[in-house]
Amino acid sequence: MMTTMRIERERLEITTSDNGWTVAGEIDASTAPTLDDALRILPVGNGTVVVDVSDVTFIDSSGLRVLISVATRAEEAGRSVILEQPSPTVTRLLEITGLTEMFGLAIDPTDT
Amino acid sequence: MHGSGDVAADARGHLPERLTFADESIRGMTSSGDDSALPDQRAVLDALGGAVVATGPDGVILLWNRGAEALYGWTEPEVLGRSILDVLAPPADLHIAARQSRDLFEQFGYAQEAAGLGTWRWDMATGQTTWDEGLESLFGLPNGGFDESFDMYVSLLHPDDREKVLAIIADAVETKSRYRVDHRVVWPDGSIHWISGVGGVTLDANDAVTGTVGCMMDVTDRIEKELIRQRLAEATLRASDIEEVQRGRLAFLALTNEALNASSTIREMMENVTRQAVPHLGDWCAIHVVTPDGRPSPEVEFAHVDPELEARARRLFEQLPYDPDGHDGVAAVIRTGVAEYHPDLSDDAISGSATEARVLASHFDLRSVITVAIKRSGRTFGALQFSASASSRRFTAEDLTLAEAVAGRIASSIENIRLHERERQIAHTLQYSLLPTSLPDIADIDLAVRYWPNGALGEVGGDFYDVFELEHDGQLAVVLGDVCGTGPEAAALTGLARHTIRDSAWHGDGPEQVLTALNRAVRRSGNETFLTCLYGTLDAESRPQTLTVTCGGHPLPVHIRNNKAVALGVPGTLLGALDDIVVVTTSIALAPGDVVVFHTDGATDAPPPIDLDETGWTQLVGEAARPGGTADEISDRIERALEAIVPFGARADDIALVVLVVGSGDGHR
Repeated sequence: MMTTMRIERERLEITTSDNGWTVAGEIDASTAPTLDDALRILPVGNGTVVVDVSDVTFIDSSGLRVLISVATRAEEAGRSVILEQPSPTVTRLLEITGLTEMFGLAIDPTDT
Repeated sequence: MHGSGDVAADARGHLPERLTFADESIRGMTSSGDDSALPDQRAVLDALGGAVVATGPDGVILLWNRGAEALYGWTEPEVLGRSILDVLAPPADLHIAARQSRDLFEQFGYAQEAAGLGTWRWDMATGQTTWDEGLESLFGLPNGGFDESFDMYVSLLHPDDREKVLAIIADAVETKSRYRVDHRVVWPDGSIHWISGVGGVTLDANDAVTGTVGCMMDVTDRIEKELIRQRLAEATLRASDIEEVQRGRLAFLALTNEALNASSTIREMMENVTRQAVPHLGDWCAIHVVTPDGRPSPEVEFAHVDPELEARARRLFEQLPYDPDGHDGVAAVIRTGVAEYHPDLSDDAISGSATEARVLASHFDLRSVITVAIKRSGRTFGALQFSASASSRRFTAEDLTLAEAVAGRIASSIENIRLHERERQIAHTLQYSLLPTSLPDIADIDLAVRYWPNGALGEVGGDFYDVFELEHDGQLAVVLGDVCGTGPEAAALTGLARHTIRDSAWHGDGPEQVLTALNRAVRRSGNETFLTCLYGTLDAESRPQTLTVTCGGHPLPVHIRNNKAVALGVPGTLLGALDDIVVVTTSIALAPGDVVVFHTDGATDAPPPIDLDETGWTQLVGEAARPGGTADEISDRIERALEAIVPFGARADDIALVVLVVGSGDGHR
């Protein structure tokens, strides 16, 4: 079953999938709380949680906070989170904050 | 309906001059194809000496023979498709009928049965009223059931219509004219039926009234259908009115919530609310909010459906002194907290009332007024007033309830906004108190710092910076950080970070240990937030000077040498998110003329459409450093360049900047 919700005049779109979510649009201080609500309950099962962020056009620290809390919840449940096809803006933020490994994007920190 | 018959009569020449007919409009209707009589039948009918008229069940004439033409003076084409009631209505002047020697009464012949007609005749001389069988059945009576008395006729009329019917008949006799009347009759079985009747007086050669004649027709179906249609139309109209009002209320309630949520200042809230109130809840809305500084007159904002009238109201209210002791209206409501509700202000009430009600009523014809206190837990913050003009609507108790509910929400919104304003003030104070008041004076190193709170939200962000001397002489620590989040919580975490870093650094901890200590402190603080931090050290004594840079999730600084700007250092883990972090320290030897610019991500993290990523930032900083100069001059150039790309008002995050310029080695700092 797929459900899609749009908020903030379609600035952010969240679609649920079987093993996670697809998030598209802008994640900032005003859209992050909704994203946080939407991603609060992990998908059923004990597999890897997948968040497709290929169409995220903007993300700042408030968006990062949401992703971290998803990762934390997954970890508490003995699961892991993978960010699928991160857009450049997501990759950049994860690299700067040293969190690529946390989200299954192994990038050598000394490679920059 | 009457009148045009005179002209027609002249044209025909042989018609009585005073013949009038009702419902000329029917003339336009034809019997198109209803002429079902065959030619030979027709010849027989015409050959008959008498008048033969045939109608359909609805009274529409289908056949009109030569005898009828001779008798009534209408040719067949003139009457086909018309109602028998109109054509055969007894003329007011029956000279012609008298001349025809045959009684009109008998001439309805075939017509009446088919059309459900009944006829009657009243002979004034004998006092006898004669009804035919058809008329008896129209009154629900058996054949011969009518006792031929006028009293019985009257008794069968519906009580509510009796007076009207008798008056019309009396008038017709008086004026020797004809009449037409729709009325109800009550059958012996109690059922009510609608009758349409036409009648007229009969006159003798001397114009004296000899009696009356007439015919009637049952029109119950038509009238009832019409009544049902009317009632339905009225009910629909009423329902849609109520619905309209109800819709307006709901819309206003929803819009008010939105308006309140979207307001970050009291003034903004006042404007938003009044704009949403009209026309959803009246033609006029005013909001008065008492200022916390105790000024006697409250802040006022209002809206009127008509922008011109609103402008006029603005001029009027500017001249109106506010009387806090006013015995009614806004002042009284604010003073007492008790709502005022005037569904329909009378002239007396207006002349005796306080200023604003008088102004509203006299200048804008606003006669229905609700004034409620904006209050919460016993505290009155102001008053909310709705008015509707005399021509639009009158407020009801439901409107009063709605107004009070809205006022309650406004009150909590005012509380929130004021609380928020206070919080913001505290956070600002706290934030600035955490920034160093002066920079260390070090030979051959020129330092400048900038801090710009965000312009878009007016919130306090979590950016901070610190520059302090370490234990050893000429050893300096440069710190930049960004706490995720805003407000007092972020400011508190900023304080924790600043002290943890200084404490750890003064203990002699290396850069990685300092950031690890900070990570642990944030994790232990129980704050569900995190921060990015750059910890740099500068050995200003050694030659060349040595700079180390360690980043915990923080944007890398830009190093400019020989007009070449590059990011310096290696990204490390964000602090406060994980128990274990990985941070890497990069060390470089500085050269005279080198410029290093440290920043927080407010500079590069502007949301679209502004696109200034790290590469763009590095380029911008490189450009700003190119002409050389002091750290202050370079900072100013960066500020101007940044303003051109990300205007202050569009910044959703605050920005902290530390600029370090290595001197030429002549001892000048």
